[in-house]
Amino acid sequence: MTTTLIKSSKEKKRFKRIQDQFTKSMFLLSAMISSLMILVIILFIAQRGLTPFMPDYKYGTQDLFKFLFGMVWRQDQAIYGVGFIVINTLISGFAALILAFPIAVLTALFSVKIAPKKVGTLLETTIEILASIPSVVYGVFAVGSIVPMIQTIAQGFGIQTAGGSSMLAVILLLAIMILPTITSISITAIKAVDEDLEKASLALGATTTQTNFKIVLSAAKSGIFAGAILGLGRAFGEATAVSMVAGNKMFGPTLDFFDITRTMTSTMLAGLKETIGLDYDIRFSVGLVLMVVILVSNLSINLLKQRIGKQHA
Amino acid sequence: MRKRKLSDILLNSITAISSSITIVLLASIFIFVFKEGLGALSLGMFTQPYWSENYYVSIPQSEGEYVLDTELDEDVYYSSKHGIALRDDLDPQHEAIIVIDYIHPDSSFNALTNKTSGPLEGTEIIINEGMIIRKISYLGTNGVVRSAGPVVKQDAKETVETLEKSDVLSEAFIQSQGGGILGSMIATLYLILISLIIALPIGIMTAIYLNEYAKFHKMAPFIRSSIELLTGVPSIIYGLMGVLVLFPITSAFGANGTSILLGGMTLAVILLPTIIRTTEESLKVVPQNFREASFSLGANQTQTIFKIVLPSALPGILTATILGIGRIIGESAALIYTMGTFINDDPNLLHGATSLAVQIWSIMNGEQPNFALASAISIIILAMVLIMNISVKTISRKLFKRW
Amino acid sequence: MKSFRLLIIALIFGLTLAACTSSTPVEPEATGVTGTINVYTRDASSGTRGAFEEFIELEDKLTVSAIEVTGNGDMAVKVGEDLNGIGYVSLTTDFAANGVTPLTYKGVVASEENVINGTYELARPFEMVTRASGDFASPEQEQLVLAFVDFLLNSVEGREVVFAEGGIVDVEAGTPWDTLKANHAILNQDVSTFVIKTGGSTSVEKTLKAALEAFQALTNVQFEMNHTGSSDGFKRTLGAEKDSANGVDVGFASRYFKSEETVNLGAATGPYAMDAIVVVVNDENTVLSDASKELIFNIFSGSVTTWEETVE
Repeated sequence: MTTTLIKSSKEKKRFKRIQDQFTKSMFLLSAMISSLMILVIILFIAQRGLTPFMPDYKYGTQDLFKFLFGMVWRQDQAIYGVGFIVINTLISGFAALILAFPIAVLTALFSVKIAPKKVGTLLETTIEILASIPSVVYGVFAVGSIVPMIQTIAQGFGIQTAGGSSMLAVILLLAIMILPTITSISITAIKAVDEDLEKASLALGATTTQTNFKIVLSAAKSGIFAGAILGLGRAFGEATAVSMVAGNKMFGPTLDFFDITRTMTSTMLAGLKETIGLDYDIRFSVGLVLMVVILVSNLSINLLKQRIGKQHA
Repeated sequence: MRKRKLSDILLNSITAISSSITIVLLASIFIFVFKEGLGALSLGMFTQPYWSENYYVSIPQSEGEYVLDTELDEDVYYSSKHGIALRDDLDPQHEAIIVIDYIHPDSSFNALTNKTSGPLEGTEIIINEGMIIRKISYLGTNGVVRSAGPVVKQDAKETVETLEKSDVLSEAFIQSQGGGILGSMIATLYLILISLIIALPIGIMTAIYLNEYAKFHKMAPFIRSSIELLTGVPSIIYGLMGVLVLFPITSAFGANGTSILLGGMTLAVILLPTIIRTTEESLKVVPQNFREASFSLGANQTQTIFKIVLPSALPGILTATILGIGRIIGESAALIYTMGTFINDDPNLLHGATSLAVQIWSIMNGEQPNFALASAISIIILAMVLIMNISVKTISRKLFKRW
Repeated sequence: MKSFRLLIIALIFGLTLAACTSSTPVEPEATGVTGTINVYTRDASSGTRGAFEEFIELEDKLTVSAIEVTGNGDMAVKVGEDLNGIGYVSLTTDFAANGVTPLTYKGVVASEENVINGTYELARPFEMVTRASGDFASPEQEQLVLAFVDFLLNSVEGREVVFAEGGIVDVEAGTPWDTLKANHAILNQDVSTFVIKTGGSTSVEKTLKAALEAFQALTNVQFEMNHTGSSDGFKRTLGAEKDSANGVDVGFASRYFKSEETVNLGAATGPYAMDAIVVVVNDENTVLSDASKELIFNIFSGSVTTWEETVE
């Protein structure tokens, strides 16, 4: 009898090991598929984006320097300078994030910790629904509500605007669009904070508010910053809605918030349906620049996250 | 003490103000969409197909006067010579149409012959009240065949007046009512299903690999950065990539053009970064002691992951799913190239169709954007998302209880 | 509980704000508009813009402070909301609904009759092109497509429905379909299993849909419309995408085909209707009612920058 027992436990161990290897390879396979897709996209954009700068480009090789640092973008005169557009995109993206981030995190805190349970769940569900509104509808909403509002405000100050389409409209629109994303992810992060931490803090005599802000938010930091990065990514990548309120200015950069502006995505989208040749390919070059911009901003946010972490440690 | 209370009150009020700003925004968007769209919502949107049935018929000689024996509404115009009543109406797409309101039982409009070339030519065809008149051809005063109806920009009143002046009607072009979006709604649901079936498993498993197996691997931060990088790529690029790279795969399945399958695969790629990142975050939060306790009890990695770690991370995975559904429903740019803009009444995985968001895009990009209709479709989208949210949460709560 | 009260107050405050912002602002009373002219234009690859600039001989001299809009409807909406705005739209636009007024060009009112008789000069074609002969899915498909093209371009019935939807075409000068039908023997068979695929410009969709539906009523053929933009008209019939997922039988453009779009390779090509381009201003703006080519050129190139200057 003893021999049969030992045999079955050895078998069990072997089975467990094989099972482990099997699942590990399954997971590895998924990770490789994901990486493959990522690689495909990057290569796709890179290949198309770099062709206009290669020698013997079909429509005339473009000057990389003029492209990267040019301050004018005119398709009809075939002048393509993306420099000012990068600045515009950075301004609009980060401004939207600065506006939306605190509101999102505080709303998340409110809905999880402060509000009565039913109100909190209602708020959560409403925010999740908001995250699924098509960007076109946000664009329509912006044209119908935000733009006239800006027009009225500007007239009150005596400033002339192009009917309200402006950098300010773009920033407000983007802030509204990324708000649900950041809030949802922050809610999940805050909910996942260990209750014991809170209880310990309260037991030591801290008020609920102090606990919320100093303990809970710090513990949820990683998730909240992930939300911020996803939100910023969305702000940078939003095309359809932004085109409707930007105005597509031909030169820049736009530092006057009431002036019309142009972002990288609105540039890529404008007239995409009807274009051929150099004009078509140069959009991929813009896309390539966009990806570099996103990479750099993500790195800076991650750095920020680590620095805040150090302060609290 | 007082200083602490002051800062507490300050922080509390800032929190309350932030939340109210969010509520204000939610309210404004909802109010805007409902204000514009509620009027355009109609039952016809759900019951009628989008494409009309088109009929070309010949009208037999009318027998004279058809006396009206029922009551007709205010704006309905009756032609006693031909026994037919017409009224002006709006179709679900908010376009002006002329609808047949009433056909006299003895009218020659009850004995129409089908003139469409094909197997049904020459057979009798039934026209119902509620169908649309596009054109009625009649014999004019100088013997020339002329047209009446919307095709010569007449409304119901003018059409009936023209008909009354003529004795002989020859042919008509009649349509069933269209403009319904049920097909697009079903196509959207298929799309969500396919995207999630592809993206969720691959995304979750990749996150598990990154967090449970390869956490301290050299390449891990690099892979993570690339994943985060992809969240900002405009969706148009995914669409163009999908047409080039993924189309050969769907061709192997039998799709010879744009298809829901192609759109679903493209969307799955778009969703991957969000799902991977959100899942990873929720995996990180699962305390390490859970895993260690499980190992010490003799479980292997597989059992630990499936029985301990994943259930704890379920809320986060759920958020990822719901965000994913939201993104799918809201996505338009990528689908224009991979799923097409053709509105399909009978959506099929291997054929092109259009999702609700793409339909809104088409409406807004046309020559005369129809805000009312776009908002009406948005209301339907919001309702669909609400239903899906509630179902996902209820199902997961039941699963949770079991565990 | 305290926070709950705060929430209620915030909610009431918030809702009143929301109700205020969603109402439209009051438009100021204005008879003569003064100040800078806000020039609106379409994006650089728009067919409407191309045609407009060609007539005014503007080419690449557009003022650098022009504001781009995303489409025809968008242009109407934006000029309708901007007192100082000026732009150009298609004749099919509903002027009153958007709050814009059309200007006459060289003294001629923009109307369908004036386009047909040639007195109104700002007009652009709706062009179509088919695949190359022999490049269709089958010979029957080719004959069917050519039958449709004949219906669309030449028949009275086809022109009638196009005209009803806003395409400018001389209906009377067409040939009755019964006469043309005789040239297409394919229509004597049952064609209900065939699908005509169309693509290209989105501006033509309304007129094209009406024509396809009328053709279906007559012949029982199926059709599939997948329109994404004028440049896809050539691309998907004869160009780079003709054999891809998006290939179509007939492609459309709302502009003249460019020289690099070699449409003479198609089995059939040509315009099926015209569309007029109209210069519009905000309907509260009574400064201008007529525009000459010179004045439009000066405004759009930036030499004339204020509304006062236009009447000097």
